[in-house]
Amino acid sequence: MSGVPASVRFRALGTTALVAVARPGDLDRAEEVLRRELEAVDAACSRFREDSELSLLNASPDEVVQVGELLAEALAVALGAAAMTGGDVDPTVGRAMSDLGYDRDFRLVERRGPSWLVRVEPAPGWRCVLFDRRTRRVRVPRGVSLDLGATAKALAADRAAAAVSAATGGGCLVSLGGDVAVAGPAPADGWPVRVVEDHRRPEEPGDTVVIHTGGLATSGTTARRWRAGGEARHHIVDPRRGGPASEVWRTASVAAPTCVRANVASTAAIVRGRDAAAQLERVGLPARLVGAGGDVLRLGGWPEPRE
Amino acid sequence: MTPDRTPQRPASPAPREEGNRRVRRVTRGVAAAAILGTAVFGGLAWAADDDSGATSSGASATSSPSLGSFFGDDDDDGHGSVDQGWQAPSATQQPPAATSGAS
Repeated sequence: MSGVPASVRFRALGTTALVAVARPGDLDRAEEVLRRELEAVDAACSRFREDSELSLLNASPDEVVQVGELLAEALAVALGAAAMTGGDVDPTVGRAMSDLGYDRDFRLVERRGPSWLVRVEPAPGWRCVLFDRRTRRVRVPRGVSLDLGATAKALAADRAAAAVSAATGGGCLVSLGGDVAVAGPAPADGWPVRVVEDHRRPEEPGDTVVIHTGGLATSGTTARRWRAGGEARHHIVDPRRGGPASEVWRTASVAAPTCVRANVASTAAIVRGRDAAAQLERVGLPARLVGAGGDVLRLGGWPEPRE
Repeated sequence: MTPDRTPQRPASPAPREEGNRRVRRVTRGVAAAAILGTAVFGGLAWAADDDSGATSSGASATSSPSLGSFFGDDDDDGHGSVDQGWQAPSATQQPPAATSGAS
């Protein structure tokens, strides 16, 4: 089999959701499962919904709260990512994001205009969050706001791909704003994925690669940009500064055994800047980095494009 | 393409166990410190105060803070260790099924 028999896309989680299935007859069921999964993730993890479980948690400072299983899983992933990256990917950047002006759905941020005053302070750090995975109890200190944006979308992609494959018995690909996860039997030629700087512009220069398992994620500073406090801002925060990460790499794409791992590595690469290439080489994950000047660096076994 | 759907609350909202003996309401300062126990995830787990006597099941991530460890043999993110059957991507000229880029 070559190419992709069937796919559907729609808006969700503030971005584009897509599910592709290896067997066209699975598409309706796949869309149903994906929509249900994304609704659950949005209700649990959204920072922009006042009624989300995460918002309720953030609004309960210094209180011990028992959260639902889905938010508990998302918190475990987010705190685990922070631990494993030494705090480069940290969920306590919620307040920093708000202080930079990203405190609502991004379409509304863009409309607000550049006069917004910003405050730049280091994130409190993931170690201040108290969390017991088994009992699902969590305590967020006063003044700390959690943002799961760095990991929740990738987690949703992994979860949705697994759920779709389980429901249909077939192979599938799920993409949430460019965070890609596949599950189940892949088409004979694999899942071809276009890797570019902005997932909405596949026609722009990039590489097309095939994946059969796992995930692929791209983080970048070229999307979700706005002006505030007289300066250009983007949505990847360096937790240690509380401001946008420096733009050594404007885009980092990573392939890994799960979308979560790919996404954590790609986001950490943006935050780490010059150190990222050597660290990605060391962990052996295929990666494609685009420098601020547009130079492309492929490493860790990332394939050279076919002419 | 189908229209956006307004997200709904999950059927079973997250329980909050206020008033439950097993979950002690923490205010701040000393009261919080009194019930906190073993280091986990760099944050803290609650000391056992439930029937099982168990503390957090979280991994000892504080001892392995590098990015490298995240992709090693540990299973700290709950999504399995590095998959033995995982394949690195290869180049292709097929029409893409999806696009990966910043969003």
